[in-house]
Amino acid sequence: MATVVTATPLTSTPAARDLIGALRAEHGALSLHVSGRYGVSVICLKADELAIGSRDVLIGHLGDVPLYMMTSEIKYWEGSPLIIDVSRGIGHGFSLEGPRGVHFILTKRVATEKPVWDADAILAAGPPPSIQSGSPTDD
Amino acid sequence: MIQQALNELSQQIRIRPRYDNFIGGQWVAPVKGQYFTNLTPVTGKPLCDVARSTAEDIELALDAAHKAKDAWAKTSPAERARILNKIADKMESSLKLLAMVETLDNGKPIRETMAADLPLAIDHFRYFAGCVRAQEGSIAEIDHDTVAYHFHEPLGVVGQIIPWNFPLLMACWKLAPAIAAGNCVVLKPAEQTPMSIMVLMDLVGDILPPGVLNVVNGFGVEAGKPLAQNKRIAKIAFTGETTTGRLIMQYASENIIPCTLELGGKSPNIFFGDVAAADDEFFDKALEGFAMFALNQGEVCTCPSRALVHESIYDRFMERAIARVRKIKQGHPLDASTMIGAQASNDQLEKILSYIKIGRDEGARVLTGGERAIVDGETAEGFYVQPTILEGNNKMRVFQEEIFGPVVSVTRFKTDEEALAIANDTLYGLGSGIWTRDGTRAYRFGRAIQAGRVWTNCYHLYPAHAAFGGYKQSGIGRETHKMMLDHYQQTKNMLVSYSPKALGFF
Repeated sequence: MATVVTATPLTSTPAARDLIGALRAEHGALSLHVSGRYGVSVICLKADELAIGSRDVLIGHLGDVPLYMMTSEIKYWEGSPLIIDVSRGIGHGFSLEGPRGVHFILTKRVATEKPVWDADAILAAGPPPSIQSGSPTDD
Repeated sequence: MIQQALNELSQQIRIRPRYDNFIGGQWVAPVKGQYFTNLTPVTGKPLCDVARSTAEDIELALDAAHKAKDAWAKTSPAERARILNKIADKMESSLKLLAMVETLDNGKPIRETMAADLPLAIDHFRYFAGCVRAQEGSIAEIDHDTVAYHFHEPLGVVGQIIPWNFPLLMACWKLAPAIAAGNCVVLKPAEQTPMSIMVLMDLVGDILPPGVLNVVNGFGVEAGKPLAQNKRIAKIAFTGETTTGRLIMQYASENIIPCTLELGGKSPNIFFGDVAAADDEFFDKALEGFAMFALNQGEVCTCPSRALVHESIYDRFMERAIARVRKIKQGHPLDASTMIGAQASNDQLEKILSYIKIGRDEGARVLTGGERAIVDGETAEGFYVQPTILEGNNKMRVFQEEIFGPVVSVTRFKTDEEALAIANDTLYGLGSGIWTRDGTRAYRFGRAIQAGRVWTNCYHLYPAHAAFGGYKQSGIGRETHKMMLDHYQQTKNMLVSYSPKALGFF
């Protein structure tokens, strides 16, 4: 089983941690998916909802919830720390937090600092473990 | 102004404080009895309540659609066309009223809903009414004894999920071909803009046989998902964001049904040096083409939000382009002279403002705009932003990310190869614009761009009969063209033998 690179680029705000906690309590095991660098959405689904495969990379965790990104996206995001936060407004698509009138967003700090993570290292780690057996890295 | 508009509207068409679902030709309350409040972006205040539907309501809608589908499939193309034309006529006689409702629900200015959204929506029914009457199957003589007859047959019951940026137009783009082709529909509007389609149902709902068109409002995860996953639809169509598009394809694969998707884009608008060869009406048109990033407040998947201007004309062009953008009139969306209205939600507004800040932090220059706009009066708390031009380079986030607002990022280019590389350096491939007086360059460049729509010496035209859809991750399938009928039909081949003789196998 491929291991995930330990230096996770993902951090989170208290609002994001509170929201994922509330959603976990309501729905059980979850997963998060970054939906493109264009009109960036972060979609929150039940853990077994979206089939994860060789096109997805595991970027990090929010609590014990994995955040996935597509391999086509990762080169764009690499380098700067990524921050998962919550914004007001109905969630997008089939995201679980939609009815609450808030939604997750992912931002990266403007790349003025030296890179803290490398896309190639994460890609070399291979496709993510299956969602059921995936476990959080040290944060 | 809003109250005056609502009074005027309610004298001529029904405006309800609360909308149930439209199922089987009736207004049906949501099974669990829940509603949510729909705000108008014009003022940020509540406009109406709308059904917060769940899987139970989707099942009711599917029941009604399945009940209606056999009779609708047997209805002649001429009769279906007559009904679609009647819908178009009714919409046209209430054009101003529907335009007002669309402005209230979405925030876009009435100048646009009257000139673009509603006329295009109306025309779409007329277009497909014509297409379906002119459609033929085919016959092939296989050999002296064997003839293959090909018939177009409807799929049956289809599900459709639409976005909030052109609520009525996106509905009509999907409904017209599906219904023309003989299908019954369950439509789930966007939760941000659930009202205008329901006003339309009050207006034209009784023209269609009950159950042919059913509209169920609600949140994506609560109402959209049970529709997309349902075993009782023969096809799903979706316009929206990428991960949900992926999920929809997955559900479609579970049910082994076709799906068509439109997932967004990041469109380049390319101005070659020769556009400024003369200071004539074409140059003026090119300047308007640059300003097209402001259409629909930039909330369009094909927003020309990346402008590439040839270095030889850059300064001259930009001086005029900035002046042109500064003339864009901001104001109350119901005022007929207002050119740019409200962003669809506070959330959209905040996202745009944060991108402008990101642009500044990245070193982009703000050539005009760059701030939230306060439109005085009842609109003071509405969601308005100034049309903004950012100058930078293609590596910046404001060049790469979809801002979905009236913000254009502009950069210079030297060679055709460089422009093509920048244009194609995106995961998406929905729209693009080319401006040049040289027909050969336009042709070669347009064929080389990896996008489904290449506007050449124009932008933001969406006539019926011009196919629209994406390359790469922008989606699957094409809309606004008679080829859509194929997406909503299946082919029956009757292979008929006129020979009485056995083959000799058994």
